[in-house]
Amino acid sequence: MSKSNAINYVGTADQQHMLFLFFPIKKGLFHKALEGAQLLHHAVKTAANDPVPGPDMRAQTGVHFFMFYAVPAGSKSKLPVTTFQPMPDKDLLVVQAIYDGEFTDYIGSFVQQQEIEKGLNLIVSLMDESNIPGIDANGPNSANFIMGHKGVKSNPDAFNCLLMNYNFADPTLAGKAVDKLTNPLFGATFPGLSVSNILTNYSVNGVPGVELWPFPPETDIEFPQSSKPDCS
Amino acid sequence: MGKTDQTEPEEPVVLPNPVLDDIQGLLLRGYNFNHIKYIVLNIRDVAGARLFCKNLAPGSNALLNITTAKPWQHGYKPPYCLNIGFTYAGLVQMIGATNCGTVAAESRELFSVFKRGATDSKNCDDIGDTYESAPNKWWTRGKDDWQLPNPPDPNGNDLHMQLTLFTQVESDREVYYNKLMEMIPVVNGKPALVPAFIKDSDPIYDGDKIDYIHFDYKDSLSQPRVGGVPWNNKLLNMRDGRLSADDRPVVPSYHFAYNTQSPYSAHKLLYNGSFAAFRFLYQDVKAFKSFIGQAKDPDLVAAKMCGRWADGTPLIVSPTGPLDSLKGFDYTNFNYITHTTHQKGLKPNDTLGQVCPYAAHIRRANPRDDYNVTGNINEAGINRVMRRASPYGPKYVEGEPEGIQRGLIGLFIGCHLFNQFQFIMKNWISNGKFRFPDATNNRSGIDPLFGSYPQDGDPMHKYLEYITETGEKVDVPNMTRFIRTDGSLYVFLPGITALKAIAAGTLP
Repeated sequence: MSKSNAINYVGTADQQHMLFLFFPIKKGLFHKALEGAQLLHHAVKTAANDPVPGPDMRAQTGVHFFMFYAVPAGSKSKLPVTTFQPMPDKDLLVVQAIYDGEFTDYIGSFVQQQEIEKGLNLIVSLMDESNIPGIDANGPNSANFIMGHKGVKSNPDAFNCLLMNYNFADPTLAGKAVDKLTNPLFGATFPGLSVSNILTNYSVNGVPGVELWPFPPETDIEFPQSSKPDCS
Repeated sequence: MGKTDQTEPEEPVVLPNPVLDDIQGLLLRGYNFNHIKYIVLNIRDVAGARLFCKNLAPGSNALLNITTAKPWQHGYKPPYCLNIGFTYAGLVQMIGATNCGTVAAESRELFSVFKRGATDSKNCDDIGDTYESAPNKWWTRGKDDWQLPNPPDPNGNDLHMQLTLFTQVESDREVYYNKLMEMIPVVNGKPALVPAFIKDSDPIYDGDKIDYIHFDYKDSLSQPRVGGVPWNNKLLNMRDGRLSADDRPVVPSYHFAYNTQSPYSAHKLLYNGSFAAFRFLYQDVKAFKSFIGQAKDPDLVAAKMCGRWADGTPLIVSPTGPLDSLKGFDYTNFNYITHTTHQKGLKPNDTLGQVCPYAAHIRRANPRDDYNVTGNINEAGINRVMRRASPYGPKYVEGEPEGIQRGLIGLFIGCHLFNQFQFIMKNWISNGKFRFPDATNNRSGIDPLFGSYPQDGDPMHKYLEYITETGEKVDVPNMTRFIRTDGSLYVFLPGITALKAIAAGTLP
């Protein structure tokens, strides 16, 4: 089998990175935080029923998947081992995503967009950074500072640093197909297969990605029931 | 972000007018003076440097004063214009580290890139100032440019104050430069400031051609249209001495001269001021000509690289060749997707990049209404740069000896260095994946006027690919590096009130 066409270079714009956030949320407001997450999802996808849908931002944002998971204060782990544990007096918002390229470069642009700004401001306003060791709840990278100084649009650097305070993942680590043993070990089945490359390479009649995954999405995709193992 | 409807003329945005007599002139307007001297000074005595700055501020009876943005009386140009900037190392000397810390803390979004400076390794990696363009090779490639006895500090800490002197008459340049040097106080028998770097800039003389750069393109054709200034507030504006319809979208002035309309908070020191990248760039004309010379039609390849024909005619206005009939704002009245009101030519929707390639320099530096460009949130918005740069060095002659220095030098101005200068250089010019969708095989590579480093491992950066109107993909291989950085500074261009405070060693 020839290896002459094998990809051996992936520029920064096509590298896949992980975001894995554990946001402390004011007690009792975890559901409100999910509403903020939904606003972001709506802004990125631009729902089909919008009277004037914006441009397709899937390639620009480069998000492969995301998960928002809200955990009320005092919750026990869903599993018999420790998992996502909220602090006793705070709810917890867990955010996990794989995205392409460099987050820092585009954050200044993304927060200019009203819907994204709105969703992010809602989540930041719900954060409770009090009494967290090593965190200055009113410091220059705090949620209080950002909301007290006109929100994320006016403070993209501070917002980025706020994220990094609660990011378990390393934003400089690219998902790799082959790697030496590291901890964490972050693998990617197709490094460099960015969202824009997916859309480009799934072109039909020269129109990238549009026929397979129309934008805005016109219908929900049907998902037949998956099965889980019988462990009885 | 949304599609822009350009069917109606853009009305100027209503914002408070900038305080023109407190803003340095070059932030908001081009002087169109032909003879320029770029000077970088090293501070030897802080008290003397402060006195020098105090005297430079408008209102003193000194030999020379800083030029503001206040309109010239009856439109008559003065014999000289002068502007000043400070590096972070210079600002620390002038107002002290504690005051700088106060400004930094209150101006985080705007100040952080300036504080780290142009030699910061991440900055250099991001914008391509690496290998032959790295800081340890800066300033000394020209024979007489570097003035200090010691070699330059690779961290730039010996470069404190940057002055730009513009004159209309060539012989006036030395006259006013000598007056400027006379203004430097002498303390204990020694000058308080000494020149560290000096470079003169003059037009490239070639028959009737004016405003050309060494790659033979006409220059200075498209600058942001700043809102709230008296020379930009009509639908018909002056250009090249005549009134002409101006379709350019209005950019709020706070992107170039800070005021409180900006979304970003800042200390008062920054009010009516800005930041700039002072760039000293070498242009390898021989390599450039060799690259375009591979093609059957070198002029076409050169046009595809730039997005304009050599005379400045935009490809989008005339895909087949230069148009002699263009005048005034015709050279910048165009979009890539939805045409502007007064756009000339066929007015194509070039969303596939078949007329003007996505790779083309002017499309990458200013994607206009192309909302599919990554990060192009607002065509009138956050990423535009005010360019005050001009050529230096002699015109290239075929067969000339190696080592002749020529290129472009000047200031790239914007209040938010990260969103403006750095963003364009990194994400639109140096990185691939400029736009989606993109039908080229190399995702339009990188900006071909800058070209590719030998050490760049990305095979997509090694050739120019453009798509013809019939869909044929044309590859021009062997792309090398055509622009090299020979010096760079990030400078703060203060407002006049701030300059007076700096001269007093305090904060406003």
